[in-house]
Amino acid sequence: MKEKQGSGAALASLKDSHRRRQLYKPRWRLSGAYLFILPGMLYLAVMSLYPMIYVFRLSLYDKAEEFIGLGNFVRAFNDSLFLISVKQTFIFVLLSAAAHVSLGLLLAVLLNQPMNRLFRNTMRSLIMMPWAITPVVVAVIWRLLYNPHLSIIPSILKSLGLDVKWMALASPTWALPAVTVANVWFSLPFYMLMLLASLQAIPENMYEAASIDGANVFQRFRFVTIPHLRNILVTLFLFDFIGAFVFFDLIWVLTKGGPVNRTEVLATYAYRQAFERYDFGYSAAVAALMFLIMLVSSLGLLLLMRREE
Amino acid sequence: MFTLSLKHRRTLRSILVYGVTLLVALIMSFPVFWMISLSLRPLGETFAPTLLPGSIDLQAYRKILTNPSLRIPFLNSMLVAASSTLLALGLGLPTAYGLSRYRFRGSSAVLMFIIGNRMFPPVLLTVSYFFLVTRVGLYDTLLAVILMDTVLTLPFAVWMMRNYFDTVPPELDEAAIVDGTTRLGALLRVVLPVSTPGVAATAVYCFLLAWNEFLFAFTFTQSQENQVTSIKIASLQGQFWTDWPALLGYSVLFIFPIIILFLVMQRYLVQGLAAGSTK
Repeated sequence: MKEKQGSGAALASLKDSHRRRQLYKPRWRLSGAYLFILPGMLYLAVMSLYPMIYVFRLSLYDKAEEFIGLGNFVRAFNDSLFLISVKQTFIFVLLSAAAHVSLGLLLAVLLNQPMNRLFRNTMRSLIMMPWAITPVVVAVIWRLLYNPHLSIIPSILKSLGLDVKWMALASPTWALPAVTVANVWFSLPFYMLMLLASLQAIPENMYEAASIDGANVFQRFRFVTIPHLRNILVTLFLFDFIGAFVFFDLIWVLTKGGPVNRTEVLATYAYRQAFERYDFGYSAAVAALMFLIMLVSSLGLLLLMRREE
Repeated sequence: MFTLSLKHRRTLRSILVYGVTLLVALIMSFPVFWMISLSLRPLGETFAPTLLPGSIDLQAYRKILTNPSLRIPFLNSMLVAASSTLLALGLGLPTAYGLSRYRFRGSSAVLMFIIGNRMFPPVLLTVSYFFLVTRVGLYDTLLAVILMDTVLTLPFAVWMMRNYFDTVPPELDEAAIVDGTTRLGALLRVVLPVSTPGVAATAVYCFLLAWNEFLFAFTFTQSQENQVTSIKIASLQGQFWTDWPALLGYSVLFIFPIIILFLVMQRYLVQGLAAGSTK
């Protein structure tokens, strides 16, 4: 107890010296730093860096474990299913990221409006609910909602006079949008929360100044809110782009890439090659290409969005 | 076009805000509500269902709680998530401390590598792990899953704790060292005690990551006694026939601890993540 008080007092008295931290030069020797970071780094080197390198090596061998150079990569570019997976990955990822960022911003602005505090907190908790749900359970929930017999939506549509065949997951046209909706739903709260925190950091007098200059609601949004959130919007878009690019669980449990490969993305395609066809060399090549495409396109996006500034 | 007085416009506006917010909240939470609602019905009542169950039927939950093959996965998930969290904190706290307190050659490269881990596709790692795991004989063990899950939890732990340690003034450690303790002592006895909220938030997040993990467990465990909950849920969905109330009840029980943790830790989690994202 005494120690705790001591450290609390120390914290308070050090508050102003905190500013000097930039000037403060560490005197201790290098060896100390390495001792601290060594165990964690060693772990990641063995469990993450080595497997990454190993995959690239693996991609140079065929099913009979014979060295074939870049043969697997040549094969991928002549494999129509691989190319379809690339296309579908981009559709899934770009739609998800765009929806997450734009809808997240809309919800954040909505919850940032003046309203009763209890009401706001209750609504926020309800909106946050999907965030607590595991991808596998998200898949179960949406299989339920897309199921023509178990969902309430078809009967609602019927009562509105719309006679729609409700089986999106079995439809080659609608399966990919349906999977995207499930993905958007379950991580939307995260983006909303991030943007809400950033919205609240915008100084109120910026809006007041804009109002005095005669700006209406939309102009205030366009010329005050958007410029302030620019960086966080770009960051969140890229964050989601990368996350969705390698996402496996949801699609695998929801559709397994079907019907007729219409929801096949690179992650499920690479997985299938390894653990259904036992073609580890080709799977490694697909996975390596997935990584490279993701890296190049996210860097490209970053440059594009930076240049527009 | 008719004009409204300022007062009327305000009222109209707030009605609109309240209405739209309520609508959005209902749409966002409806799927969860629907899952709970269907899990409370007897098997026959799930077809062409009404909004609310005619009568509440806990048959599905009774089935789950009395069937050992449905109970074991919960214990396995607990074990895996707790072990991976402990491992991530044990390895991650010193790493985060080292990165926060020392500026050494390559420190930014180390940090980049740790953050970059998020970009490594899990499917890609899975392909490599297959060879690693069969070589060392860890196939179909929970240990393999724990070790792999830590690849996901450790970078998160390092990242969140480094940000937290950065907010603790380094003069605190210096004072402790002047008083005669070592660097490690300063970390354990001075810095960690004032970082409890950060450690708690990090632990919860790591626990959730491992609790939710699907791919590694799906690929590297096979036998019933090594099944974790996420795998059990996926396997309860039959190709032709599914016991929906049981599956949904199981899913509800699976996400229940997460929702509790989220509600308790909401503020800390958001703070921790927000601190990381705005840097």
